[in-house]
Amino acid sequence: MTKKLIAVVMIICIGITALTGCGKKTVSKAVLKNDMEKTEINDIGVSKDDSQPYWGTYVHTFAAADGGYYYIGKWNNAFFLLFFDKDTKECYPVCGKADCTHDNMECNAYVGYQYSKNRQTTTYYLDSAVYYYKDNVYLLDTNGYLVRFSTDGSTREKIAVVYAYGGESGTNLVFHDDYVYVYNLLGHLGNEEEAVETIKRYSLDGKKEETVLEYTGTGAAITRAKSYGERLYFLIETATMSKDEKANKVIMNSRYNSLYAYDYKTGTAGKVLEGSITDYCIDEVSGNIYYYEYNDGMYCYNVKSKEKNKIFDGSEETRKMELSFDGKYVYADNRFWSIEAARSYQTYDRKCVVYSTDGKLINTISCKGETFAFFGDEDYMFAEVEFEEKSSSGSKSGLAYIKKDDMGKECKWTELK
Amino acid sequence: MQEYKRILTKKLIITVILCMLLNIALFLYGQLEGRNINDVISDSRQYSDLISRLKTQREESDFEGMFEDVTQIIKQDKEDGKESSASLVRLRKKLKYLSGFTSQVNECLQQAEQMRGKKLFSNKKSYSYNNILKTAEDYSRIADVKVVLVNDMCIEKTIEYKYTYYLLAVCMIVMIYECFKERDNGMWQIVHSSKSGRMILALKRFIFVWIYAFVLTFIYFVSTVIASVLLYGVSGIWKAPVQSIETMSGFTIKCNMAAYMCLLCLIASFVLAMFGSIILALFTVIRNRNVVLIGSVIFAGAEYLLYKNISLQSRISFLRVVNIINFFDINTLLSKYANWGFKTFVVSSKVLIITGMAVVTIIMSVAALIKSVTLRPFGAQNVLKKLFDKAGELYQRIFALYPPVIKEMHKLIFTGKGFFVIAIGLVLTLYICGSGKMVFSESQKEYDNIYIQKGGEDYSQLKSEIDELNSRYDSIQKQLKDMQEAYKNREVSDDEFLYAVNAAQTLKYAIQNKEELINKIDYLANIENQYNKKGWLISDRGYEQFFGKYGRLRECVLVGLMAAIIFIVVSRGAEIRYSTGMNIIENTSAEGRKKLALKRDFAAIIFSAAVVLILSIVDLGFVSRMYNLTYKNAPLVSLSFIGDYLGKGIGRNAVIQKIILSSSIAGFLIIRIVLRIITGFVVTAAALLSGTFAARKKNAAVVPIVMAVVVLITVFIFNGLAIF
Repeated sequence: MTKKLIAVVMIICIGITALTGCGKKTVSKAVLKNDMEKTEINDIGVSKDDSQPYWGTYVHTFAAADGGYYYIGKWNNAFFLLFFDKDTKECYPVCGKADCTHDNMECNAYVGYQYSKNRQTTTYYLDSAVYYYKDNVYLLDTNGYLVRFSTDGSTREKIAVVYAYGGESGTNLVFHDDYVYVYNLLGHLGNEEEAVETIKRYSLDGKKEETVLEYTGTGAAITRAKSYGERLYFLIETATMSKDEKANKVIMNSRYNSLYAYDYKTGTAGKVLEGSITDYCIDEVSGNIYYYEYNDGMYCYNVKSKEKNKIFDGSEETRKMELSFDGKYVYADNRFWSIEAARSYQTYDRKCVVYSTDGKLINTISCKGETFAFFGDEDYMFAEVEFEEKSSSGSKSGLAYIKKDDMGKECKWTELK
Repeated sequence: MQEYKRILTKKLIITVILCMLLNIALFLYGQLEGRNINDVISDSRQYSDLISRLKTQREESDFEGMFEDVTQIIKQDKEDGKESSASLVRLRKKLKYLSGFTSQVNECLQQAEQMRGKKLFSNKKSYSYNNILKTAEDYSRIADVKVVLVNDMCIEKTIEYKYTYYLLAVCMIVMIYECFKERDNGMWQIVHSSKSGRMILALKRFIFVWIYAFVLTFIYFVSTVIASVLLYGVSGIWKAPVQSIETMSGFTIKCNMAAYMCLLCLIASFVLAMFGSIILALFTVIRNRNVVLIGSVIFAGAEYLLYKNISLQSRISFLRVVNIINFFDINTLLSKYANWGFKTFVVSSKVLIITGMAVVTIIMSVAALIKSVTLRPFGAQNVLKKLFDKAGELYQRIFALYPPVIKEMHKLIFTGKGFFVIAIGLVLTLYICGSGKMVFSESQKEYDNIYIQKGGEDYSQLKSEIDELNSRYDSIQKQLKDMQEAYKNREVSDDEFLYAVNAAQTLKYAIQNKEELINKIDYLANIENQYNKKGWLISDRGYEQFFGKYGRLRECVLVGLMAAIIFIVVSRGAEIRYSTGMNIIENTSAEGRKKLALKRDFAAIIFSAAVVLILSIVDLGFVSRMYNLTYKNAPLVSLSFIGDYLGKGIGRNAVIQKIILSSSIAGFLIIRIVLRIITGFVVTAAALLSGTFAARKKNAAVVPIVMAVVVLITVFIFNGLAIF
């Protein structure tokens, strides 16, 4: 009889184990449909925390922290989490073991190399996704996990699976109010079938997962999401094709769309600005939205006064610009346009122009060749730069910085060593 | 003393001697590396001669100079088209290490000094800062160590050899089994009733475990060292600093090789004694020794999983650091420099592990000593037990009406506590099925959707879409080519040309997005041409995780688990007959011999088939849901990883080819289950035989040994059978 009782209890325990194993994490869904109405914004608001919207959105190689910047770079022929000290201008691996030679997998700073053939058995971290939020560093690994690193690299903690790695990743993150907002900037660009683009959010304790926004469209992608004040702003890009049967030609349709915003408090979203906007940045204090219209120029729209002013005209070499605001100046970089133009054998100078908030040109920073600007905060800006001579790692390109002491003077890239 | 004489039976002594000989044999075999013993000895002599020669040409501490000399010799050999000897290559590697040792230690001390000032590590209350201080303190102890060049292969090979610890553990378990003979032969009641038969007896056994551990470890170590000395020789190694061996560079205690060997032997003895004490404590406290063994194996498995899955930087790294897996390589435990801690508390990992184990040993030993008094041979009698006994009597009256086969199955599942094993097996199956889930990328998930919507038996629509895409790409390429000339002559505007370029780019991207589908359609066309078999367009992904190469490990573990469950339960059934004396009663009745034996075996066969069926269905259900396995009625050859077997390896066999070409996926899944059921029958036969043998000979060690062999063979066979 005792044995029967024990048997019954065991069966109940197994049943509970199986059922709990079947269940997913609790998901509260707030679905927003795709037909966005225009939203009137009268105040940007003040950000509760620093989600560092001044970085470029295509790759997030650098993250600002107390006293310096975290990034993933090559060290001893492998990839490590490194720290650039603002004051001493030193770079060193984020590993507190004095006996470590920082050249093997046991190093606390080792983060591997994402383009591994054997990705099923080895976990690496994406060098395009380095974030800093509330005294922790966050990276994405190739198993889809968001991983929290302590600032000295001594501990790592997996939080949640936030994406699926497929060899490359367009996954981007925005941190706000102890949540991480996740979207894929590649989306379904170029596809001919209708698909749903989403922004999901995950709580940083790993307990909640929600879809906060859905957009249904053809050949679309959510891009350039940045958090300012009380909202998450983003663009929706579309790339579709149609065939002109008469002329027997394939025609590319418009790619750039309007600026949208998702309100954190109300959970609603809407269109903020109409147009073919290639990028934008926002000054929370003054309420200015700086945005670049494709093949037109840079504008400034003030949400309080509703005034719209043109800052500068676009030109042949600046049909499309990427923008950043560091609290003092607006930076505009033409890298994506120069790549697109190069496909049709047109060559334009690479440059990053710096404007003050009242529209004065402060500086033009030269960016040779394939220089990829990551922008930066009020102290430093970073880029992957093509050097004239070989860099210290032996290749032609490497990571570099400009100290923003005096933006009015000539600025030169200094290699991060 | 009588107790010690009783434990030290001939059988135990023979086991110890055999294990020692096996230890030496395995050690020698490990050193051969494709050579014979004479070659090993002559290579070692050659190595010693090289060292002596170098020492005559250079100062003893001029390692850099010696390194240059050896490098020159190797370079010369290469120019002459000769392959340098293994001794030379080894010597070069050794000299490189020795020449860099002092600078490596100094670099570590310098690095520690610099790191304390760096922003990230300068917080005095942080673990990093305190770890840096401790590291500097530890390494400063060996800053003035003068490493030497000697032929230390004897010591190096001995300390790297790990099988000694496994064999010592086996000897310890066999000895502990001997201690509890009184539980098998009915003496327990008599022993327990005497004054010295409880706590004093338990105490004597604990003392014996410690003596046995120290003596055995010493004998095994010495025998291994002797074997090593005979192979590699000794020449001035004992006084050389142990850091002269490359793998010992992280050992931060200043000592010579002789002292290190003594320390290693001492620590290994302590570890073995603690291990033995813990097992003895469990055996003392828990009535059923097989339950202890099964529990220990499960615990060891769980510890292994924790060790493998928790990284050193994880917040729960404590579970990896204080882990029994570390004890299977005591040399690495001692020689590798590693600390653990939090905030200002920093401690060496090896100290933490050994202290942790010592604390567990003390607690469990004390608990066992106390329990040895209260654990009675017959069990406690209380009101609840009397009620259960009454209910049990009623149950028995009803149960008497059941046919013998059902009674035999009841004995397997309930009387022998088989449900416990089955329950653990189910939990492990659920864990194995649920863990290691492959997360597919968005593009892979989209492909799977396309397979569901447009694939299957008739995929002509998808095929024509892809053909259309290809033809559009060809036409845009032609258009672009024509436009290039016109663009050069400014007959076409920038915008028009740019649009065409972008359109071509986007079409190329769209085709690349369909690459998997294109490859799959080509594969199906090849199969149809070669074997005249029409496959369906379905996704390989989920099935490849189930029974393809990515699911091989999971499948092997599951098959091993099934075999283990069947073996444990069925062999237990055989043991119960003998331990309860039922075999005597059964043999006296007319139907108690062959007829009952047939019914008993039939019940065991039904049980094994049921276990295999249940676990296979759970496995299939879980994986099917996890990966959304569709089109189960599709021909098996629709899966490209299966089709790849045709004409190669196991696929050359005509029967296998026929199965691949003629069965559906569902049919194939049934074949796999049937194969497992047949394997289950073989395992059942082995379990019945070994269980009966063990019970007749009163040798409980037979069952675990035969089970381990049977499970290993089963896993090995299934691993070789690939897709099955």
